[in-house]
Amino acid sequence: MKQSKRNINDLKVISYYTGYIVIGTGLLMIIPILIALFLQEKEPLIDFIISINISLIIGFILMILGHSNKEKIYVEWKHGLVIASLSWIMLMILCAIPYYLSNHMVSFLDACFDVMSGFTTTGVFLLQDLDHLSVSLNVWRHILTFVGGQGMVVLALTFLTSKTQGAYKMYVGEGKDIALLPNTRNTTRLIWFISLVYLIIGTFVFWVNGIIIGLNPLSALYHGFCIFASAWSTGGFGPMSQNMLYYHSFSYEIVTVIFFMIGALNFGFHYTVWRGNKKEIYKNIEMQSFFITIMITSFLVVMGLNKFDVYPNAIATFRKGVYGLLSAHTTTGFMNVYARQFALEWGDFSIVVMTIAMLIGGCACSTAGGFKALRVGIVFKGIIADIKKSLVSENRVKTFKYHHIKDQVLDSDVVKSSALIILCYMILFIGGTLLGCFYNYPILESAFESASVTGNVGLSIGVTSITMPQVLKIYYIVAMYLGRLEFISVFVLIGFAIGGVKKICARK
Amino acid sequence: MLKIKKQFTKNKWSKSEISFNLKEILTGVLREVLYMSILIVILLVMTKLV
Repeated sequence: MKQSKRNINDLKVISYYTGYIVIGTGLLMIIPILIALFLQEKEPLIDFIISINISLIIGFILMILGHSNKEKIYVEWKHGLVIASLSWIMLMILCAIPYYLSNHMVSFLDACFDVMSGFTTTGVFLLQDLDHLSVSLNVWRHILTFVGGQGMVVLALTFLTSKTQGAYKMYVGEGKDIALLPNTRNTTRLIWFISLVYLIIGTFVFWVNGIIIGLNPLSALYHGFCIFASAWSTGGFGPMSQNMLYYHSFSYEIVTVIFFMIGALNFGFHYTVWRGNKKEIYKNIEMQSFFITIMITSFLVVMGLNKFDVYPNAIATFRKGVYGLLSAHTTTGFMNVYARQFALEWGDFSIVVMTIAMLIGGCACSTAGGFKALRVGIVFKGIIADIKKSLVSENRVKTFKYHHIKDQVLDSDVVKSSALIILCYMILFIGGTLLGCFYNYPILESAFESASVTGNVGLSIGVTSITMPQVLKIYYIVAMYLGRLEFISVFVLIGFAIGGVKKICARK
Repeated sequence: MLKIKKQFTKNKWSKSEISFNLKEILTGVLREVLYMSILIVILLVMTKLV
């Protein structure tokens, strides 16, 4: 009897907070509704009104179902993790409704694919005829990627809740585990504060740049917002189907590099730099790891491109090769070459280097994906520490430390958990590569695309298209989802669901 | 400047430990932009040399 009451309480607390997050994200649809009203886009307006109503109704139903006992229920770790992972699935379905109603999607699965790609800041898409998409829906795509970069749970915790009980557990469930401030709500607010400051500055810079390259002021503002939202969130969406090629501007490309590089940095790093700490840039293990891997992979890509004389001069190699590499390493996915050019012109060596860069990704607790520079740094330092331990006398106990925001002890648990997450990413990546090969895609192209979705990058070599097998589409959705939430919370959700099914079967 | 600082410290969020003044924000942003610009220049030089 007690066990049964506990199970109901579990479901209630999950239902209540999932409803909370669904409402929070659903309310964001007010922005495209206002844009559609302003621009008199009638059909998108109706689509968004339908979608917001469905989202709010479902959100309120979930909250009402879980409401009665909310004061008495303590949010446990399992609740926080399940809420975060379940919210993402629900939001994927609900936010796909305006996509599907727009008639730009072939199927609802494709719409879910695009929404998951937006939320996870991946950037691959199956949407058809992007160049003729309504402004309101295009802005919605970029809002999703901007919000996804910070996290929907972070959004709900920042602006809606007045309670902090259990907040940290949901925050961790979304793949962010750094406590910038003692209070979780303040941490989430700080993340949004930093992002909004950059949103204002970045949109302004892109707006000016857009006017310089010949866009009219209103169009420059629209493109500026969209490109900044994608750059900051390391998303890779663009308002036009040609992505960065549309602008054909070196200055526009350089500005995007600056913002997506900053977007790929840890929010903890932003906080310490804003607080005036100048030494963090070279003391922080994550910064060291991030910049070293960028230098090495950039060097290798340039070497690979030069070997085949792909581009005529250094500036062209930088604009295409290094830009593509930085876009891959920060998991942004902005493209200024056509997808098939990777396969047909770049050569196998450069593609393999790009694949490795996509898997490494950006910094932890940032908007970037991949298995993160911090984990690479910790595992590397762990290996060095093990070698040093083997070389010193057995009687001597030596403690190893690393600096990440503050000095921390490098114990075996930290190394083990980092190595485990890297292992999970590798399994997911290999699974995607094998599945691609099963459907007759060349191994290198399968690996490239699999790394792109696993690391939430968004660069495509041509595999992602509406004609690709449905199973591959579903696998890519799952890979983007697992890669963004960093496995644990999704595993807890699966465990929770299996546990529930087992109990139901046992009762029968 | 003082007015803006006052506004920031009056803000509800400032009570909750997020109390940056405008100077701190701009310095922080400029410093991060500078770091990235240096990296871009290094990569550009590296591309030229290779």
